[in-house]
Amino acid sequence: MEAARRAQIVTIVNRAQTEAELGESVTAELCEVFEAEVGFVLARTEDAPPRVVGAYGLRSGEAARLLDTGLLDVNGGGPHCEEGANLLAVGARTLACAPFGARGARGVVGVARLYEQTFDEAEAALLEAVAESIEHALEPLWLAEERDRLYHEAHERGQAARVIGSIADGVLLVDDAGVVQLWNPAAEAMTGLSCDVVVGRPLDEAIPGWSAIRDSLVVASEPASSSERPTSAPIDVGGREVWLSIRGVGLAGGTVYAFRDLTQDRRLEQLKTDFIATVSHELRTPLAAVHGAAKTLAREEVVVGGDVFRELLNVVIEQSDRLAAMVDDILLASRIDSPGLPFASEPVDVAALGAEVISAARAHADERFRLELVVPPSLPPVVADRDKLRQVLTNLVANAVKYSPAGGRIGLELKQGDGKLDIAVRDEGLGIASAEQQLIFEKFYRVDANMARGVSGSGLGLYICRELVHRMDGTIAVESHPGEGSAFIVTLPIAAGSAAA
Amino acid sequence: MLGVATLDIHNRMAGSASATGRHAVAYAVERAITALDREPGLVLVFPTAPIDPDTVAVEAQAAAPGTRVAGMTGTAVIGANGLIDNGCSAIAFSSVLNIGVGASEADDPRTCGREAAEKALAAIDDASHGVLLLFVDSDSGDQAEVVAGAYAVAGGRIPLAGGAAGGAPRARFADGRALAKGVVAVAIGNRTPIGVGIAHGCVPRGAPSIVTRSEGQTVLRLDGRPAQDVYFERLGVDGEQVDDKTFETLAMMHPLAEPELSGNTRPRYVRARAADGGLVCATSIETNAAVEICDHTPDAIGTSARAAVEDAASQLQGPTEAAVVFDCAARSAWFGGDLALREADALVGALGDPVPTVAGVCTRGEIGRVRGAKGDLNYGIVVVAFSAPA
Repeated sequence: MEAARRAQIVTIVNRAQTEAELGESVTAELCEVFEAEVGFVLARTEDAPPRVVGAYGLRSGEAARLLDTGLLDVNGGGPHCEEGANLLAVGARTLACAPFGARGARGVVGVARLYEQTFDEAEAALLEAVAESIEHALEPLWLAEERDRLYHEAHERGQAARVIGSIADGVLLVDDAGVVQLWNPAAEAMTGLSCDVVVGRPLDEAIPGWSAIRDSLVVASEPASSSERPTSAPIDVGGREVWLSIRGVGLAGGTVYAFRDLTQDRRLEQLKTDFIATVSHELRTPLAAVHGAAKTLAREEVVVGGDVFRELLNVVIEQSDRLAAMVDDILLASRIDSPGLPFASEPVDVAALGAEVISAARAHADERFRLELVVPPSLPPVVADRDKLRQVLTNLVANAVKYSPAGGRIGLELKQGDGKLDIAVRDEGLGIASAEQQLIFEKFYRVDANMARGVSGSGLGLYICRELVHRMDGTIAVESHPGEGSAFIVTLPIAAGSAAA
Repeated sequence: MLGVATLDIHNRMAGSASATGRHAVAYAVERAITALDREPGLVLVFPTAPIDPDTVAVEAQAAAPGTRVAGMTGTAVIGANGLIDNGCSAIAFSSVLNIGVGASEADDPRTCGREAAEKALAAIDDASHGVLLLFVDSDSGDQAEVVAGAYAVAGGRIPLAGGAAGGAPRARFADGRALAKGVVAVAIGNRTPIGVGIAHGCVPRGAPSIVTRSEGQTVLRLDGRPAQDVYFERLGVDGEQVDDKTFETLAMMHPLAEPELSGNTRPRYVRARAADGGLVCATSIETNAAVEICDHTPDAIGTSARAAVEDAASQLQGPTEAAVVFDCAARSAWFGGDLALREADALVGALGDPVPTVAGVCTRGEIGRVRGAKGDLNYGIVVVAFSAPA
């Protein structure tokens, strides 16, 4: 019969899949088999505090108090039985316990009765056998739970790494010794400094410019602190100035910095500021001319006649055209990104269009300029919006004139390629520094922002050209050397079905 | 009306009554309160079927306005005059006792037991002595799970008593509401001890067998053989000649039982035969458990009724003033004749002379726990006895 009881408990013990399940099922069964009112299993492992694996027959709160009874501190030995008036602080009169130990852990299994019915030797032996069963069952359960915990942690770390690797903000983790422990791909992209170069090195050494901004950075004590505003500061990275918005949070063992690249934002802000100044100037100049001419014409005491009268009227007409053109540019620049701007897609004879543009330019250009149209024979038409393409070529030719203060040749040269047509506007003017060649197509960007070379403009012309060409499925590029002139090349697709030259 | 039981005790704590007829429930409740002759705190009501549960719940509550009312249906009920096949038995307790009533209709039996017990026990925290009565539904899952849920809340100091509602339709009642399923728990706290006596009339025959394979409530193999083969062999019956009706009678007369360390046995009703040679029991029996095949005799039924009364009374510090009885309906019914009446008479007679305040109900599974942690019973009789407050 005893063997059957032991086997019965072993069956229940071995069925458990988790420590908690074992605790719940075996303690209830202990009460059943021992006809006890209380059954419990306590355990202590190396990596966790003492805990109640399971308890049965105790009210909430009473189970936790079992940990204060010192039962877990009994080292080894066999089962022991006690009698008393208030055992376990729950009014138990008799108690039987059997310790067990498993792989760096130990525990105790116990049963208690609220009545004066002592546990005999056979019961103590049975409890000892139960303790052995629990020991054998808990070891693989603890190993399995430890394995699951490690898997879970690894999964969470992997997820965190993927998140940090995929977010657009740069993330930098520096330990208390000032050594970089984490440098994510976004940080690499912003600064051009690779993870291999930065991680594991002292921060000041890995990012020499950091020491210059260190004192200006604010480090919050908790991540959710919204009162701490990020610090905006320029940092020198390999001779390049990168503006960063940096927010720091102090952690146990280090500081984590999250940062965003403000370089583009700051440049755009600067361009806008420049644009306002430029446009103000550009508007005032023709306005002043119109105003002056109109006031002269309005003076009653001055009789203006003949050539002077016509000259003043021409001033008003030309300057108001100039104003209108500028306003048109501004309006177009504001609309050009929107899909609502209509574009035609039609075969355009660029040779004829180029002739019109050159002819119109000649009407305004003085004798210092030699405007030429270079057209190979039998050019096929391109697919484009005729008016928009005219606007592009007019802009490019006007720019060539504007940036060639000494005059010279300005050529509009057509050249057929494989399924495409290159339209080059070439001048012999000031030229553009290579560093600026990537910037000149940006909105508001002006080569001569301070008009040091006396060249006016809104900074919208090339931006408009690029956007219009892109909308016509074309490309625009620049080739230039300072002092040797520039060439702007617009490439457009040749209309389908058109014969090659 | 059948009768009213009162005792001439100065500190009367209970009054009971039983009634038959169309308004048996209302009469029984009203007369029980009248017999108490003081402010009631709780009325337990046990009607027999057939009844309309919702009507009974409302009638019982209307007859005891402002008082907690709880109870359940039974296949028969017990009053001071003995067994009543068709009527109602009620017992009213004084408001000097601590009373708590809780109900739960959770789907999971263990949750159901825990929730009902929590609500009921909250009211008797301060009492020196207490008992938790559980009125359960035998069709809503393993009754042992209900007891386990209640025990998890009550702990070892509070004895459990009660049973599963009988009759058809079966119902439980709590504060004017009828519950078709779930658990009603009633906690009673007193300044003096409350006795709970538990007994059954099953006698093991032969040596125990070991359950070598089981699944839930089905014992598949005994001693390595199909459980039915061993069962029939022990009873000396040719299993192939046993039809369902015969098996039902055999199973009622010969339950399985789990032996306990104390030498007692815990009978387990065999509900049916399983197709694979197993025996379907009223509650789960674990693999490797020892089980005995028992005989259930008329003589043992009367003896066990008296034993339960004496067991309960022995735990009191004074004479029994009131008792609530939960008696397995199957104990006497399968023997026919007047055994059920004789059992009830034996029970009431054992309570004392004059008969104290008593109400009882015949159940489809009983609950009784004083020692140990398990309290789900079959073929049992559970007597809860109260003595007058000091």
